[in-house]
Amino acid sequence: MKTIEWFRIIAFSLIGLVIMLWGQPLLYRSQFGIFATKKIGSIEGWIVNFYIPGAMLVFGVCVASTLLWYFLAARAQPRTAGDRHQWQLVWMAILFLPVLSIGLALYLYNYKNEAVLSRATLFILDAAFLYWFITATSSPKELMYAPPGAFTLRRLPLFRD
Amino acid sequence: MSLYLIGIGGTGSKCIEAVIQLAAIGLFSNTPIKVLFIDPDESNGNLERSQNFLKLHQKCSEIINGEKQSYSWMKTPISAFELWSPFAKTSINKNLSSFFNYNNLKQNYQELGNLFDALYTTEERTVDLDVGFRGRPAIGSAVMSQVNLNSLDDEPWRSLINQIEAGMGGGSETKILLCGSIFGGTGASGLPTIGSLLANKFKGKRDKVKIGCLFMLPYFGFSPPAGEDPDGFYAQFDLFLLNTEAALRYYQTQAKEIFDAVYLLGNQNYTQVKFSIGKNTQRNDPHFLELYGALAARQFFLSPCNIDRPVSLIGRHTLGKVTWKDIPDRSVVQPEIVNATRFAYAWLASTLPELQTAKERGIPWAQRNIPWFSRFFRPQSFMGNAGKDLPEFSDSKEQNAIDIVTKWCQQYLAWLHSIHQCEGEDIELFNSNSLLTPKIEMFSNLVIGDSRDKSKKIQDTISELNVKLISQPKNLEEPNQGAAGLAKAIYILSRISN
Repeated sequence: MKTIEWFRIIAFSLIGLVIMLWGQPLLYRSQFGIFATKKIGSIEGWIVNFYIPGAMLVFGVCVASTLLWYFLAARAQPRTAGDRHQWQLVWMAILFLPVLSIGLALYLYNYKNEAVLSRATLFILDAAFLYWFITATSSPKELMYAPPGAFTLRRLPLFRD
Repeated sequence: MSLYLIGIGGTGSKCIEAVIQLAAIGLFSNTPIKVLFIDPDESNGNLERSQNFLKLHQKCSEIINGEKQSYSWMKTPISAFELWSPFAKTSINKNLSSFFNYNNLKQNYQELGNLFDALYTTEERTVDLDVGFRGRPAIGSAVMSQVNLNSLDDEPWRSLINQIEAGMGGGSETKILLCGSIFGGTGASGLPTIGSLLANKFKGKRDKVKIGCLFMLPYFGFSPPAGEDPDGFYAQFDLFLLNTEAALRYYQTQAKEIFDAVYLLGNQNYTQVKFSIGKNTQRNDPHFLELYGALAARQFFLSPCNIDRPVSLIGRHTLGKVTWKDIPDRSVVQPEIVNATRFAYAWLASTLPELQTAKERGIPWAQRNIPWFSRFFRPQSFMGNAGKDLPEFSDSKEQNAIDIVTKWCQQYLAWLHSIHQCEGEDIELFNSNSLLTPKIEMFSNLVIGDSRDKSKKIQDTISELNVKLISQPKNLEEPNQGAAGLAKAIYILSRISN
């Protein structure tokens, strides 16, 4: 397990956390475009009681999925290119967890069916960042190119080890 | 310095084969070695195999050219003169009578003709010699002694002598090593005869020209198959010791001044080989004694001759067993053999299958599933220019290089496997069972007597090597791209670090 990979996982997770808990509520407070609400009376109350718990659920599951992938990949001993290809399926299978968490967050923390579309959009982007982007830039070397798009990302100067 | 290696007969060819192997893995210096094969049996199987190894070595050297500081693979250039056969100019009647114009002797020089009759039986005079001298050094000596190193009418002698003299003119020392068996026909007759001719040629210049000899004493035997005349005209195992005794006596009494260094190698246990009179069927598997022969050549070429002790002998700790402790100059030799073996093993067990898969599945698939692939071959990427200067994997030059490196690995491991298979001998250098079919899981346990601690051995896997290959060795100098760069990087990473 390489320090640089851990550093990226922690740093990007914290960035994700800040975006979800601070940046995205700002969008609802601004009432801009699809973030405008009509049925919700108190926007602050809605953010605290509905948005934040849903976001935390998505965040927790995404980070847990990323760590699960990392630990599995770090322990993996693929012998051939074919074996490494099989690990792409494992990555896809783990992707199911963030997708499920988005569905649960939208279902469990729903208020008058409002802001479903905007929340879904934000949560999908959050999951993409927290699971896809982090694993694509920080997977262990043996499976560094397994997440989709990782080959392109890991060859950028910022992510080249 | 100029180095010349002359292999006489089938065993001489096999010694050259072993020298080629050790030169390929960096156990000789950067000084080129020039090789001359001598054999009346031009289609001899042992000779053919050595020549094929040499061609492969040369092709591989061409691919792996460039700096040799960080690794020793293919650092010794080897070139060859054309094969010399005493019957090269004779297309028919390759026998003693024709060679010495016996009928002419009988008619015009009757005394000489009669002497010829007294020295050689009718069968010896008329038997076909294109399969070699059939274990009769007396025939071989007569034929070999006809080489004229003064007139230099014939190749390859003209080139050989001219090159030696040119080297001497430049003030450099020249070392010539002759190798072959002392118990058969061609080697036993050729070693002292050619040695004597060379010694005479460079008389008075011996401070600059050192001549050494590697005498292989009996180490294999054979039985003629049922139906073959036991008194037939071919090399007979029963006569090996007698021939050896006579040849050593000749050396002791008449040839002592010829050689500056003499290496004697033999084994009590005779490995049984398939009976063959000669030609392509005379193709004996490599023997561990030939490894010692190559190490003797190494000592002769790399160390100054000891005039006080011209004869070198070597023994082993336990009869019937060869371990790393028995290898001369072990501290240098073992790491190089181990390095090369691990490289060839890793290439065949992992790298080659990966490259074959890449060929089948295409570049995008390969670059995603083989992490080191895009370090050596041009990637297909829609972003950035990284790797655009790398060679195309599908380029025929790259595919040819992969093919040559693969063949080298296969023949090296096959040679190594053979020297572990000597009947009645326990060769404890490598776990040889999987050398012919390398398996990824056997990689860390290849070397017998590997003293690394368990934790290091556990980490020493081909997977780990493949991970390192993504970015190591850092600052790899040329060749650092394509199949050549890949092979070089694996070679460097295969070395066991202390």
